[in-house]
Order: sequence, then C-alpha cells, then structure tokens
Amino acid sequence: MTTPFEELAGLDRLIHEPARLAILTALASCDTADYLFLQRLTGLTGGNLSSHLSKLEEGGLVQLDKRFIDKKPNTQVQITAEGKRAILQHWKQLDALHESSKNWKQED
Amino acid sequence: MKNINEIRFVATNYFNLQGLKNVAIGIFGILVALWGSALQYPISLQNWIFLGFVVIVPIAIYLAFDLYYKHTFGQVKRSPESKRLEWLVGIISGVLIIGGFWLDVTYKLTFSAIGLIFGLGLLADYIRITWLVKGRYLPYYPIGVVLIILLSLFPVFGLPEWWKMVGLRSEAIGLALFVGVFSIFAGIWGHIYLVRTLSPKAEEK
Repeated sequence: MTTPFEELAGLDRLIHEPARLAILTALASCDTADYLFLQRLTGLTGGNLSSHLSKLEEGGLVQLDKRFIDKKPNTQVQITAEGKRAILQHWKQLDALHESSKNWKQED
Repeated sequence: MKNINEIRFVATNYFNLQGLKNVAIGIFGILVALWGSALQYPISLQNWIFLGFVVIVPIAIYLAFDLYYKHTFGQVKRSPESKRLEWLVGIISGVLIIGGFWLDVTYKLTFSAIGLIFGLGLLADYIRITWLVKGRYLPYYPIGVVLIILLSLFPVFGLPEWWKMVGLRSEAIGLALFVGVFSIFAGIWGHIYLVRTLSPKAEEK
C-alpha cells in the first residue's frame, strides 16, 4: 500500500505546478479566456504566462487561438477535452490525498 | 497567486462581477423612477425627450463600461453550463415577475407580490453565482434580498403607503428606485472585489 507521500510524488508535474494548476482551473470554469484575463487572474508576468501556456499547449491540455482585434494581438485560450479530464482527475487525486493524509499514521 | 476557490469563482462569474455595468442598470432604474414620478397626462414632448434620455444614457454608460472591462481585465466566454443555468434562472424569474405584476394589479394585496418575487429571484441568482464557494463572496446580495423583502412587506407592518412618505407616486416607482440604488451600491462593491482580485503585476511585487 502506498503512503500519501508516494502518491504525491506520482502526481502529473505538468499540471501540478502552481501557475499551471491555476491556469487550468480557471480555464475549466469557463469556455475561453484571453491572455490579459489569465495574466490578471494569476498575477504572472507576460513571459512566464507565455511559457506556461506553451507547455500546456505542447501537452495537449489547452489550445491557443491567436488573432488581431482592432489591430491589436489577442490570444484566446481554451482548455481541451483532454485538459478538462486531466484537471478534474487531478483535483480528485488531490482531494483523495488530502483525506488519506488526515488518516495516515507512520509505521514503526 | 490567488486561492483556487477564488480563481474558480472569478473565472465562472467574471460577467457578473463587472459591477460598473450594474451601475448603468441602476442609473436606468433611478431615471425610470424619476420619469414615472414626473409624468404628466397627456404625455408632453418634454416627457418623451426625457424618456429617450432615460433609455440612451444608461445604454451608453453600459457600453462604455463593457469596453473598459475588456481592455483592462480581458475577456472570458462563459461555459455552456453557466449560460444554460443563467438562461433558466432568467426565464423562470421573468415569468414569476410578470405573474407578480399581474397579482399586484389584479388583487388588492397587503404586500407587493412583484417585490417579494424580485427578492426571491435575487436570492436564486445569489445561490447560482456562489454555488462554487458556498456564499463566501458578494454579501451585498443577501443584504439586498432582505431589504427588498422588507420593503415589499412594509404595508403588512403598518406602513401602507410608504412610497408617499418619500414623495413618490406609486409602490412600483418606489421599488424601481430601490432597485436602482441597490444596483449602484452592489455594482460598486462587485467592481471593488474584481479590481482587488485581478490586481496587476502581483508576481512582480
């Protein structure tokens, strides 16, 4: 039987990084959000947000739609079906870990 | 980084938290109440001009604030589930408000049916938008619910024509004025919450 700490080590690191967890959680709560909203919501700098979004896009968890509105660049971000499934599963895992860590007793 | 409930809440309810738009709706409510109070029969040209002003000014303010939110805080499209729930609550509230209006004009009730229904609709809306965080945010909603229910029951409590005490022509005008003032108050509160939650450059700080 695995301990909560072993289960913690087994979490998907692409999702579990705090900024990416926040981005995916926000995107799972809406249809699409633009770059500016995600930046304001997470408090990340532009460079960091771009870097996290690129990793999530490479992992197939989000899709980016870059376009121009009134001659200004606008990036719309949408969570993919796989991304939605992954973040919901991740939160289930975290909740289960939270519960099991409450009941966990160290063996002698 | 914000806590995860706050992130979920803001991403789900971004549309509802754009409080300055509620200020425009509140201005509409107040202008309608003023127009209704000042109305003379037969309706004069000035009344019609003022009615145009009542409609155009809040729409212009609403659109200006919509642009402000898009440019300052970004854009979010609501999830299909959220839209469906909002439509459902909107349709049910609309039908009930029409029913309340019908009750008020058909029977001599000792309370305002439309006011009570509006209060209960506001409560349903509060439950809808805070279901993720179990009512932790937006306390102005329950305050508004209590106030409008009290206002609707004033005649039962011995204040049969309370609207005359504040110089208004009818109960409906009194309720419209209250809804207008409440919308402005709630809108400013919601806006302050949004500005605090979406503070810029948190990471750089």
